[in-house]
Amino acid sequence: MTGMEHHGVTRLQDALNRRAFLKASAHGFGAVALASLLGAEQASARPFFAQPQHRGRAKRVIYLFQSGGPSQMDLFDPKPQLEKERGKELPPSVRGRQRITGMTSKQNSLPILPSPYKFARHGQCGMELSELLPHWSAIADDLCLIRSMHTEAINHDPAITFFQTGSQLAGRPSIGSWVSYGLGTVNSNLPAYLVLTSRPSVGSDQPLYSRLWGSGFLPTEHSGVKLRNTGDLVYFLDNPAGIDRAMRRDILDDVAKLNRQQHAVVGDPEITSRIAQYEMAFRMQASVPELGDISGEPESVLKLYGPNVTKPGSYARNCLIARRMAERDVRFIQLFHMGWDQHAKLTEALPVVCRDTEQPTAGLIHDLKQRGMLDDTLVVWGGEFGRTIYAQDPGDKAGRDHHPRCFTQVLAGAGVKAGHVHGATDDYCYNITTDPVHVHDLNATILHLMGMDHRKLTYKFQGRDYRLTDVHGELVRSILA
Amino acid sequence: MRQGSLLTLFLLYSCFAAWAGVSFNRDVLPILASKCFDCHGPDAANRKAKLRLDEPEGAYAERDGVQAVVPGKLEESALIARILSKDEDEIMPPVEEGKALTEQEKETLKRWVGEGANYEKHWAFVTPEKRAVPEAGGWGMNEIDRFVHVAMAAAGLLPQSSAIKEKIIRRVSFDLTGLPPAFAEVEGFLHDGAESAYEKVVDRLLESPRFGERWAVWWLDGAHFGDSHGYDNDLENSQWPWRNWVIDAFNANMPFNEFTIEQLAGDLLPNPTEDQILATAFNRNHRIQTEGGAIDEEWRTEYVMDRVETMGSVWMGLTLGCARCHDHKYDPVSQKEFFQFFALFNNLEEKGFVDNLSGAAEPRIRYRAAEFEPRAREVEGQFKGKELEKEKKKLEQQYPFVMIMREMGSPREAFVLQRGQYDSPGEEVKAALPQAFSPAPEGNVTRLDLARWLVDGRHPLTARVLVNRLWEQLFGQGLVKSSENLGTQADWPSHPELLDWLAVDFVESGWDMKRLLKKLVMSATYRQSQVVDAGRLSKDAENRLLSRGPRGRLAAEMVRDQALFVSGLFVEKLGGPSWWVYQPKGLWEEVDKRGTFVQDNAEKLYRRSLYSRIRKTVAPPSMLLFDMPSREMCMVKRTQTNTPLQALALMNEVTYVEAAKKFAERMMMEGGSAKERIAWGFRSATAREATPEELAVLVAGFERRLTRYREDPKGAEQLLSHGDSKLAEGADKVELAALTTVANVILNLDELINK
Repeated sequence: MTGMEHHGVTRLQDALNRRAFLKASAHGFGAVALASLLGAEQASARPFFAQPQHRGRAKRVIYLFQSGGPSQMDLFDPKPQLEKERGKELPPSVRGRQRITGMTSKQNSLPILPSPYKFARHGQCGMELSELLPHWSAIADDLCLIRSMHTEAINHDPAITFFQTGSQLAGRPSIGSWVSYGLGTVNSNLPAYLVLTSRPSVGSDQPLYSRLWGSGFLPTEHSGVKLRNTGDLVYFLDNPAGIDRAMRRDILDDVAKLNRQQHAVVGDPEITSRIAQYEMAFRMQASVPELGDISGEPESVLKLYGPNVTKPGSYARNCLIARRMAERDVRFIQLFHMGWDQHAKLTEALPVVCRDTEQPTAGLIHDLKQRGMLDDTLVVWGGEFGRTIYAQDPGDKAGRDHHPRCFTQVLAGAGVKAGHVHGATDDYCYNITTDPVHVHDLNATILHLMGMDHRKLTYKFQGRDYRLTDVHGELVRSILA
Repeated sequence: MRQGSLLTLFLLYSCFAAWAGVSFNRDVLPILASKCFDCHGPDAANRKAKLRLDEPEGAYAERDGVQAVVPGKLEESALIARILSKDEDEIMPPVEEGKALTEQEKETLKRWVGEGANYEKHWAFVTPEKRAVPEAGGWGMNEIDRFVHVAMAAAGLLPQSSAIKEKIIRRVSFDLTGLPPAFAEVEGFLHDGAESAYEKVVDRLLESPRFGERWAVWWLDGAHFGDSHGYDNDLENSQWPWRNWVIDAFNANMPFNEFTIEQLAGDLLPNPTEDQILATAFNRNHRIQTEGGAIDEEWRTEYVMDRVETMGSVWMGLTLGCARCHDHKYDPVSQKEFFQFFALFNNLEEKGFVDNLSGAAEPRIRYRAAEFEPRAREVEGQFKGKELEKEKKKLEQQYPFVMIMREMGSPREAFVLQRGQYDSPGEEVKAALPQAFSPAPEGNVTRLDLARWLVDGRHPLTARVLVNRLWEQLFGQGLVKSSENLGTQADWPSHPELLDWLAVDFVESGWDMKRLLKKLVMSATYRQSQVVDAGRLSKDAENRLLSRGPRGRLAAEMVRDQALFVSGLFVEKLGGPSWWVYQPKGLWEEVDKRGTFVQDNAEKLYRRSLYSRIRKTVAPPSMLLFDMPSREMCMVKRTQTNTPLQALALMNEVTYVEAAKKFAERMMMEGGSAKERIAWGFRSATAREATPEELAVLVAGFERRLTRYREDPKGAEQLLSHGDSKLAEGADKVELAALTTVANVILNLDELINK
């Protein structure tokens, strides 16, 4: 050792001298140059793609996740001819070797339960939609139905994790994190990926997990930030009682002054980045509440979203806030609505969740369209799997079990065909007959619409280049406008 | 240092590292592995054109009159022609793969073929050897510094001077014990002029029980320990006694080979002790499916997979999970070998789906049964009815069941699962160990054989993986940057000879972790100042050459523990169950089915973060923000981020506001003028004296806000109302509130959240 350890008092003097010296030299060199050497004055890391790889049609995504597994044959995929087979056993040839969950595998019969709901044609395109979706009749010409979605998982947690991350097991980044990582943020006052959750007005449902919007192995800054329904909109957003905004500014000014002094001494560019993050935090303290404040929305707009829009935390309110986020150029906006898991009492429970969600969804699409924003906003609606045509607990209280082999996903807006139906299922709404779309295909297509090639959006982790779509995913070209 | 010796060093280093020429492992393998092996690597099922480039036999072989690689002959090597081709249909890698080679990569491959296309076994798959420590320099304290100095000098860099005493004691205290030094400890060190002053500090820290707590946090990430089952309603487990075991093992400096054997196979040791069985809870920290309708075998299979992957990550630094569906694309682990590992962990009487599981699933043991049983009998005799139930429950919480490993009478049948699917069994397999790494026992092997093989001293990965990760904990990045993966896709080590020297030395020392850590922190490399100037920044931006001391953000637990410590709220107590600390209101309700949160209180709120309860699906948000993993899966490397949400947490979370309040109270009690109080506070938090400029900022801020609170005494009252802790009677609330804002400033300083 070069004899630098002396007695404490002189050490301190040394340190101060060195500090003074370094400060001078840092200024001499130019503190700015020092910092910019690593581009550290940026608040966050550069996006993976400096610019979209191709002209993306979607500047942003509003992803309306319907958690629990919406019933495709009661909403989107009519099978009227099945009425004559009511109560009959699902033919084994249709079921094939398909595994079924522990909930119905012990049932000694799998009787067919045709949909009790009427379908009618809507819009110029004549899209068939269920009577459970009355407000959707007005937006049929804006929608693209994929009746041939399929997935690999059969339980909620792995299935929803698969949709969100491309893997059934925990640990991979969510789709919104990939987008944030790929394209970065547009609005420097808000995170690139925001999440809202809502619960059904009646009953409870399958839980959500914070990993669903987590960044997995990507840096945490790409994690979805969940806006809350009670208390602070973002965790720890509000100043504690006793510190108002002016005082917070005053405190942060002191923090910044001291951090700058520290930077002059140590020279670590990470300090500059920390200063920038504190400034962003301060801006978020204003921009986030403004985002959630709907007092300036006219009555005509509120009406679009239905009566529940007045209730904070409702799906309707979240849809309105999603539009406000879109206006502020948040890249990836995701709503999760819990309540689509109708194992029992289908005819009681399904209308409830439809009432909670169908008008606000239609209202949001209408609202985006009237503002000209549907052209560059992609709206995605769907759950983690579909439901079985056969009854779970046959009888008055019959419901439907999970069904991963076919279900319907709805897209609207930027870059997708409007008034279009893609794919088809067999007579029992059990198997796909044409144009299957796998979860990886859907995710590849969403990334494509945002201007990214899903095969090129990679992150090296554990020595391997990871992708949202793993080694799979085919662009669904025939739905592109 | 004089120019002359720099030059000598450079020459020395050049010979030493054989820097000239292309090195297969350093230069060529990374290109082949990332650009070619997907189709021309170890995975037989996905191999294209029957060509494999991971072995010389494959690369040199003649196929239809063409050789991919002809050593020394560029023009005859099809590989070179294909990578240089201008024809879109000819060029390799194929255009649609999106893996185009850079010009530099093409150049490297050309040089490699031109120089004879030599192959070497991947460096990390060869048992490390101790090469001679370079005789160089005149700088440094121990062997580490000599290796480091050579590389630094070769790049034209000089070591940074030593950190000042105030800095180094803070750094080493966090690194070894996870807590900052106490005021008196700093004072003592500053006034100890002895040569051995620093070593005394290090020895004290290594002997502190806080050492075990700090290193347990690190180990718990890999084991993915948490306090709940991780699926659906995510009820609580009772695995905390295993955490006690880990803390105790670190504190007792249990050799890493024993530490390994007991956790992987303690139950299979002859006449295992209760503690040795408890150690095997390591393999029961995985999530357990409790969602109605889940298919039992699907999930049981998943747990076995989890054990294999966790063992692979934690001990071997490999991504064995890649071989679950197909042969590993980069590393020599076939799908069959994956399932031979699988067969080792497959033999428990366990369920895949446990409806509404709360507490421990089978197989399990009662924690400290010998203490529990007499006390249970006592309670039975003493109480009746409701009282009895209450007392029994209390006792069972103190001595819960813990999930452990226990072999079935005869092993379950195991199969290669096609595409990794539980319901697609293929060829039957028996437990076995791969032979590609080091000689492994054959025949009927057990988990005990696996554990012993990992720590037999010949296994090329185990010691390297461990040494590299401990290094990473102290220096912020490993000698191999990809500390999570030492397979063929690993980053080339910054100091390969040093890594190997340390690995061998570690094994020779009897796998002595405290000795290894002491060697690292005693090095001059570790003790350098963090100051970075323009030269270092341009030549060594990432500090891979270790030309300055490590600087990095504190781990999530350290951030919170420091605030508790500095404020005086900290309650020090070793071991025991986990507790619910502050969490945002409504956290569970928003994601449904998690019940109502009931916070613990009094001293339980102020224990080290290691004892905070982790509910895996809703892990504590302020910890996640600071990169603590949710513990749902094995995580051997934390990311280190810097986000506005971290700023919000430190500004506003009740933990930090309360800490500021109590910290202010301590400053008040110190007495003296406002300036003296603040100077004391700054020093007690940072371990160093504030500069006059720094102090001026803090005092001016205090005075401005004092004026504000004089006008708004209610605001002062409000600021002092946060958190459960009470303030001493009689303090001037306005002054205390203004001082609380100063404390808030200090606790938000970059210097505080970094080490």
